Amino acid sequence: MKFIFLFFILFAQISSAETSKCPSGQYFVNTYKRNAYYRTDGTFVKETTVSAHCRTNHFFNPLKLVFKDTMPRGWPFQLEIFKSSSENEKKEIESAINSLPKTLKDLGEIRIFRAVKSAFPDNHSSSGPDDSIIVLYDSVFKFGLKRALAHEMAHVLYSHLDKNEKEDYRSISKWNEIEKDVFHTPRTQFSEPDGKLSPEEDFANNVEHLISDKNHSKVIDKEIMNYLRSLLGIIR
Amino acid sequence: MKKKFYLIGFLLTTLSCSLVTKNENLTDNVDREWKYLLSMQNEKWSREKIVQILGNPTEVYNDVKSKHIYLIYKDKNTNHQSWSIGIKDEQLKAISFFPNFSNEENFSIDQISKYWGNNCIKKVEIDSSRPFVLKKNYLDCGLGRKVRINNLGQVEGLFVEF
Repeated sequence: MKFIFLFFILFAQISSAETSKCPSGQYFVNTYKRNAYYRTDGTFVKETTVSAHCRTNHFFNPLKLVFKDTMPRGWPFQLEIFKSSSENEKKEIESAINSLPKTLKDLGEIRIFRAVKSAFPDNHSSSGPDDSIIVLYDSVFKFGLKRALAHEMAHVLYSHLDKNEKEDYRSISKWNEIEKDVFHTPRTQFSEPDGKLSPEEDFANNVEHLISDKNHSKVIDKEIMNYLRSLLGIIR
Repeated sequence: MKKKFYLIGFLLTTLSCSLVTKNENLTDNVDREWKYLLSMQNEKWSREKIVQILGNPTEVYNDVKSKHIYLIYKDKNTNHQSWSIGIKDEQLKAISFFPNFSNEENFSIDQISKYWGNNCIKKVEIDSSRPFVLKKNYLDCGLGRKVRINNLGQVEGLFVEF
């Protein structure tokens, strides 16, 4: 009986070690061969094998929320009507965003805009992820602030990923870039219908449902769910 | 004594020639993906030649709407995408190459200037077709050649469209 007990403890330790290869804030990079190359100063660097290691996520930057009152400069949806956030709205938004996982929340300065209605039908929030801009429309409060913010912050996070981190997600979620900015996936199931349009929207939808859907029933693919849990530092 | 000197000289010559050859082979390996990209672009490789040189693709996607066939190649170690070659009516139509851990040092912006010239122009392409506005940074090197640079200044992909 003792041996069976010890076996299970050992098995659990090994399993735990496998699933948590890197500490929070880092991701695992498997052993790879780096080709020879010439540095810019002409120095030749020979081919080498880089051992497996943990690499730090570089996108961490403490959150700083900035509330804005007018249309963002260069915003393409010119017919949208912008306004100020009330003090109550600011408190609700701050509370919702602070309830997100650290990796999803701490992405530096985020500019929050308020507008009446989206140029897109049935749309509660928009973003300019490369400029760390989030626009919240009146309908967002009924839809769910935390859910909308999880989605838009996921867009910001995706834009901050380095190319290997993006490729990790695309590899697991089976997205290929077939031509410049044209993406295809053979998957037929998505957590939201518009997830089939691009890896960015697929990523944001999956993060939204992972955060806001208790049963995670909408994040259909288990491998994607496990990857996102690891990226966001969410323990089961 | 003379014979010994001739023998030593011969051996030293043979040794130095083999070292030169080895360095040239290393250079070939350094430039290998660039050689493929430039040859594919200039010679407009056929599907047969692409498969002969790059091997069998990891995936093949047949886009019925556009009538393009895409040969997708992925890195064996990371499963990250490395190539997508678009073919229509047996003609090469598009090349996409994605540097990875193994070769990214050979696809820096300096290296791109070396192989694609110094005339690449910085451009920002804005996609507002969906409720998240994307700003993508590109180097437009002319002749259908573009390089996408991400927000961290990394080369994400090289694209050639015919």
